[in-house]
Amino acid sequence: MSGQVADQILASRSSSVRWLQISLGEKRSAIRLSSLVRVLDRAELFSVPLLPKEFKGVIYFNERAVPILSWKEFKIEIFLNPLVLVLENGNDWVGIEVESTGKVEEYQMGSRLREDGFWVELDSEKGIWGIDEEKLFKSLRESPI
Amino acid sequence: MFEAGGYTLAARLSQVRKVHFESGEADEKNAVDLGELLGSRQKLGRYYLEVLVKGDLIPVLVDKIEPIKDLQLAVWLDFPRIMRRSFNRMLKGFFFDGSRMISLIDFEQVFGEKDK
Repeated sequence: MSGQVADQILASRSSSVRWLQISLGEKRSAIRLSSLVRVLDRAELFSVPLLPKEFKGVIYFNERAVPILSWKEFKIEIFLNPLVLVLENGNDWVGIEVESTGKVEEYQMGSRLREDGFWVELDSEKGIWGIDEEKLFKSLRESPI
Repeated sequence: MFEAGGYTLAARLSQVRKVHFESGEADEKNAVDLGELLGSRQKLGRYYLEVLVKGDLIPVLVDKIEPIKDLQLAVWLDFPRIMRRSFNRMLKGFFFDGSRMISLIDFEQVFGEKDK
């Protein structure tokens, strides 16, 4: 019996993921901690020509030009001076602007979670939606030309 | 280095033959407004670059010219793959000189694409 309980605990641990809570305008959100490269207090945004509409410019970070997501394109408006979170997926890095970061929480992952585009509902009672960076990066790579 | 459409750009010297102030000797009618090509609506162009592409000299209208600069001290940044689309293939990457993000433009790609 105790072995079964231990197995259940281990199984639940393996399916729980640590997420960093973030504020995005009126949206309570979170990003998977494993996708986070760095939180930048200050990053100068450079305008470059011929950007796809999903991006608003690039920043210089760690000897790379890191594209910054344009939240407007995703109907999200940031009100305060933003922090930049650099996210990683494969060899690609993308920066997202957030108003603030909060606590790190663990959420159980599973196939029963509600999804909406690259958003996944982590806590229906508190209305917290996480960014599924795998889907976000995939959608950016596959954007119509 | 030069400016067009509000952006700071650079091109390899091997692709630029001459620079003209105002229209002067340049073939104004056939000139390509680089600012417009980069999506800008402002009409500021005052300088012409004579660009050599596959043996043809093409006049290109830009807003501002800077003295020839060796960008070896600037950091070279690859064009982010996730931003790559067919319409920005002419941009090879960026030189970051500590204060500006200078886009390297390949005129062969600009006019090669136009011909297709």
